[in-house]
Amino acid sequence: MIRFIVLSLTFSLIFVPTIGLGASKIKVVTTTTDLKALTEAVGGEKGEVESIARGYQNPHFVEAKPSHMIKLRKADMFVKVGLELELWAQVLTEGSRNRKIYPGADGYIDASEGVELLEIPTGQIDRSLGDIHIFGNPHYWLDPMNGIAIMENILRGLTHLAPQDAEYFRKNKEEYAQHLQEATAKWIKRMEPYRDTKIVTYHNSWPNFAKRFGLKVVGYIEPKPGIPASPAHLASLISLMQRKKVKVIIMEPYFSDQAPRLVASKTGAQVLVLPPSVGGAEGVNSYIALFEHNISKLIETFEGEGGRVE
Amino acid sequence: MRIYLYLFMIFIILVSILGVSPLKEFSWGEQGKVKPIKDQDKIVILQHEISDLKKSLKDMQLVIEAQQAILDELKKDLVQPPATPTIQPSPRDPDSQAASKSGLPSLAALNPNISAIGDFTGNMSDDERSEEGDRFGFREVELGFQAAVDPYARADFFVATEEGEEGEIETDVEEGYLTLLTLPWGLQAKLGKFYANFGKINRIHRPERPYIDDPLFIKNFFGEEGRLSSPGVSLSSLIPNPWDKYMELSVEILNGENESSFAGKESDHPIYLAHLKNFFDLSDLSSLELGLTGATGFNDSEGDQRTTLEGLDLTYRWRPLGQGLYRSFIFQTEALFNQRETESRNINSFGFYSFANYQFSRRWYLGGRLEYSEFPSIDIDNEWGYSGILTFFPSEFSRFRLQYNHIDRNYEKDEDQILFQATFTLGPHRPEPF
Ligand SMILES: [Zn+2]
Repeated sequence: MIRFIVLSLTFSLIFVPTIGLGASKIKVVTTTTDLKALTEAVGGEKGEVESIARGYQNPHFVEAKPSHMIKLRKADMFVKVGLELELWAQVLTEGSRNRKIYPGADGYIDASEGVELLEIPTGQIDRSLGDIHIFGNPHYWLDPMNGIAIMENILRGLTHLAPQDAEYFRKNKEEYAQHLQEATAKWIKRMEPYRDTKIVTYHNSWPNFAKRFGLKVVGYIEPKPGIPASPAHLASLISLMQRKKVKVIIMEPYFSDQAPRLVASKTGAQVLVLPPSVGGAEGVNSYIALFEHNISKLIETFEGEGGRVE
Repeated sequence: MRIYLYLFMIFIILVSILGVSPLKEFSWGEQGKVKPIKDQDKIVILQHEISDLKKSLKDMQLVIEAQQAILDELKKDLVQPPATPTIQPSPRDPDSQAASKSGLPSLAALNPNISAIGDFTGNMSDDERSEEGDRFGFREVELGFQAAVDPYARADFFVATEEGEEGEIETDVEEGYLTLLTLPWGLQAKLGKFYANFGKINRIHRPERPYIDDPLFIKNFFGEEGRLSSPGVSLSSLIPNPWDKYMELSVEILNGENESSFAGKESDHPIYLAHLKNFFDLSDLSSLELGLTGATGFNDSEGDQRTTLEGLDLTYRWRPLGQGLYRSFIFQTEALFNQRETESRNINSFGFYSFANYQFSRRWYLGGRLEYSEFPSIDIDNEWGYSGILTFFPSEFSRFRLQYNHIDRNYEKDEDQILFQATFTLGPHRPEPF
């Protein structure tokens, strides 16, 4: 018996440190691809990041599959958008039985902490307003400057988990934040000529984006968040767009283009499918590339529109 | 002295014309890390934000002026001024003001998630002896209270108010249990009254089931309540495996309260139950779940005659990732095998259902169900059921359903039924087990 204990102790002394070294990467699971991209930017080669949702998937509705629980079971850190975007996440974290990523643990990161939120509802709210987000609009990652606040949250998590690499993470974050800032300034300049252009969007995913780049969202294809369009709503949207001379409809790739095409055909507007997340379109494989893609597409459309009108 | 001032001004003008800051001379221009550019970018971003702020200031000024005008008006009338009408930006206005999270109500946030489901049904049958008769029924109102108890546990309560047999109102705690989430070795435990982990449909509350009535074998083997449930304890664990698949084993000890298959209320022998759940991703779009259940207990209060049940469940799911809001398909089948000892002989009986549901647009589902069932203590009688089900979801929180059943019985005449159901929910989304 004693020999057995000694043997197993020796084995564990030999193997445990090597196992520890081999698996020194911090395993992070994020809900969305945008959080994955930002976590990779901060974590660099010291992180191994996986996202549950795909970039072309509607982040409000993701199936809480048991296979995701298995991914989460081995995670050191879990990052989510928060603000009730991912109602499916609670089943997954609880199902993972991984205490490291339960709410309140160091490995549980709500990326919305410290982010300036838009559209926190005031006054009486109920579901007659549709499937509204009671804590504010959760699509805040579509303002590139919020990317910096998100990275701040990720940095806090990674630093907790690997204090010895704190400096490395901080440097990564600072560098990416600076790139982001430079890029944002360029995007703002490029969008300057189209300032205050009125647009219609499918879902209310774009308020942060619109605010940052000076666009005016005047209506939605959805009459209320999460509620499919009725003919009456579309009719009033068409007349609104005609009155306000709205020429562009932005839709997310995960919706049906039926209603937007109908509205477009009646108003002469163009339907522009823009990915709201990294991986939502071909070639959009980083957080910066997401905005680069969307800004370029918008400008292309606005220019084409200008050419057509004149 | 003046000459210096002039020179300085010329220098400043030159600098600003050339668009360079004097600092640039001194930066070492490490690639991508040129400090002054960073500041310029910040300025661009800030300028943009400032012009936005200016605009909203202007808006606010207008609001203040409007409010002032209202106030003046009120003063003139010498009326005790009612609360100043607050002009709040509509929640969906993209320009509405940003606010900090600190403004959230803190105590209200501590309330458990409270939800209420109303389950209204209508029933038409060509069988005069049908228990439900041709009538409407408010089958139940189910209240759900769900929240974390402390950092270690969560609690779930489901209280149902339903119409009793003589039309009186009965209140029943359908489930009320504590889940311990932070046990060692990844174990989870449930204590209280809960729906037993027997197959798939037994775990689901009636208003949330994908058809109006309960499958025949559930009714026959678990009773009119449509479930096997009683006070007990449950312990579950994920089983590590070389394929890295989801494999969950749960073991439950429940009071033998079920009257259809077990001894009923006066029983003091528990039911032992084990369930193994296996989940495989076939692709990103489709998955397969395979479950095995075994349960055993006594069907008499003396504890002489044993009933053993085996369950098999299989679920295939398909949902495209991108257009998953509009299309999905599910196929589910469950079978139950019963071995029952009685005073005279052993009874072996059996039941199953197969159900398929296809979502053909954002709000519409078309489904079908085929089923067969014998009875716990009779193995010569049987019934076959054929159902068509049409479901419409105006939103996630309301649902209308129409169902047609044809039931073939070998001991009684056949029956045709038309069922209608309206289900409506108040409160937050309930987390649904997959
Ligand atoms: Zn949303």
